[in-house]
Amino acid sequence: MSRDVRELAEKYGYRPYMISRYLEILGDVKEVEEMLRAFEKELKPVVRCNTLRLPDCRRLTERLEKLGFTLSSIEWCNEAYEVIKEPEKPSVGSTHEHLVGLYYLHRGKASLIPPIILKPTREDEVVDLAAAPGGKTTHMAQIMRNEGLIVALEPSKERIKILRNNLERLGVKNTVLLRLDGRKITNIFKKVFTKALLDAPCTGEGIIMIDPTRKTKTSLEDLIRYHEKQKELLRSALGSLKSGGRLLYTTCSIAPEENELVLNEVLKEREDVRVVSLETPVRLAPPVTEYYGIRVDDRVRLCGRTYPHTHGMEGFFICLMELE
Amino acid sequence: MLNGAGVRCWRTSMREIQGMLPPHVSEYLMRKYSGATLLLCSNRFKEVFILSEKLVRVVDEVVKYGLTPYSAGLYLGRFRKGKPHFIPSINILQEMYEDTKKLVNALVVADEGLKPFLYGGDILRKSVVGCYPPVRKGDVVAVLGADMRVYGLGLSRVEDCGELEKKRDLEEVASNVFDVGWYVRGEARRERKYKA
Repeated sequence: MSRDVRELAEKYGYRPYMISRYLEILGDVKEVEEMLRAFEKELKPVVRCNTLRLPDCRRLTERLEKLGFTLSSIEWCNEAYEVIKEPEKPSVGSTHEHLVGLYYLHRGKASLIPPIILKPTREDEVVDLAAAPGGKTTHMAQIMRNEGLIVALEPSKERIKILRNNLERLGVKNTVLLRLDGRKITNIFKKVFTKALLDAPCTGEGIIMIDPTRKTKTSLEDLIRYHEKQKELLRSALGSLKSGGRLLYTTCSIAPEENELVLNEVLKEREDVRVVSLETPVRLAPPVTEYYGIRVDDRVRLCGRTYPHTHGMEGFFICLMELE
Repeated sequence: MLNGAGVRCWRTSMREIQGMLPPHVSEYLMRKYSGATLLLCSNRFKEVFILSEKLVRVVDEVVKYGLTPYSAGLYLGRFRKGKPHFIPSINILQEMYEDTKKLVNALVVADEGLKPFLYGGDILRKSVVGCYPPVRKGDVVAVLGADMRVYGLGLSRVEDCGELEKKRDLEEVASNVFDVGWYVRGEARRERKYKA
């Protein structure tokens, strides 16, 4: 282990193996430190106006500004606003407007990107394989204007309650909610869906600014377990899609083990899957194409990433695939 | 069909359940959803959902596999053995008021009264700024804010709007059955009686 790695790990409170990997990803100690510094900064929450309840979002911004919030619009997502300043009371999560479903509260901007890229339409039949707490499910329902179909899966007894609450709170009615592990979706639905969203459960190495315990929480063994589960989920998601269907794979992690390496292994088994060039609202960073001597499948080069220090948002990985 | 958790779900129609609904809700639903397929799921209580055609297909597949949906489509409400026999969902009431542009069976509450209500509190006379019949003692009434959004449901403590008028400022006129604060704060024991 290099001295740089040891020093950075100690200074910012990370497990050293994580810093070594960041150095392998970014290739430059200075940039690694920039990223670690960005993880120390607080993320501004984002309010996504719920057009299912409120067609004119100006009515929401007016109400929130009257309460003392300062909002800044996000240019690439018409109905979303960063919360620049909050009054002492109420908090952005406890306003009447929030409770009555006029908006969904996101922890950061990056989670708005996947539904925008997947672009579900009113004709689509979509599966969301790991749906709780429902930010992306409700966003998709909003884009679909509450028509078409979403099958939302969540295996956890506690998290599915939160998901249902959010669907009801926001007035979503095009969704069937199943308490089911996404890995089992093909037991019921094979080659059925036109679109799939897999926001895979992950270590959360991209949202350390929100949850600093993630600096030390994940052991290498945990990381391997996530990697295996993510591959199984991805295989399942692909199996649930009909020919021509599109799948968006995303995680809130910057770990290649949970992203490029997952795709690398699964795509090698599937010649019939192409990766689609991303039409993104923000310019993404390129994926990791070589990692500790592993050269990933060429198709993965079309995937993208966000980093906190270059994008001012959570670290995310995004990849759009299409079945032949 | 019955799943492993003991939940039983079956299809039904508006015609079959209309007699169990409050007249104003039944009338609205028969107008808007008379041909719709409903899903009734029974466990500790019975919940009913309105399904679109696409959702019916999916639910049938799910049921064939031996599962039941956790929820589906538009949640219409919940049947109970005791009184009140039906608790409508916030969403169906909101939709009904918006479509008909008419308030019935409702209390409109000022902002100051809404705050405690959203933490599970009851409605006091002084915070009610509008009463829309029919309102009967022991029945469920919708609780709206001045913005005409449905913020929850109460159990009326008054026989009609006239009795409400006569109450003193700090007297309770409706007790909290369910409020939208529940969506983010989780359930209290009393609420569990009424809500899934």
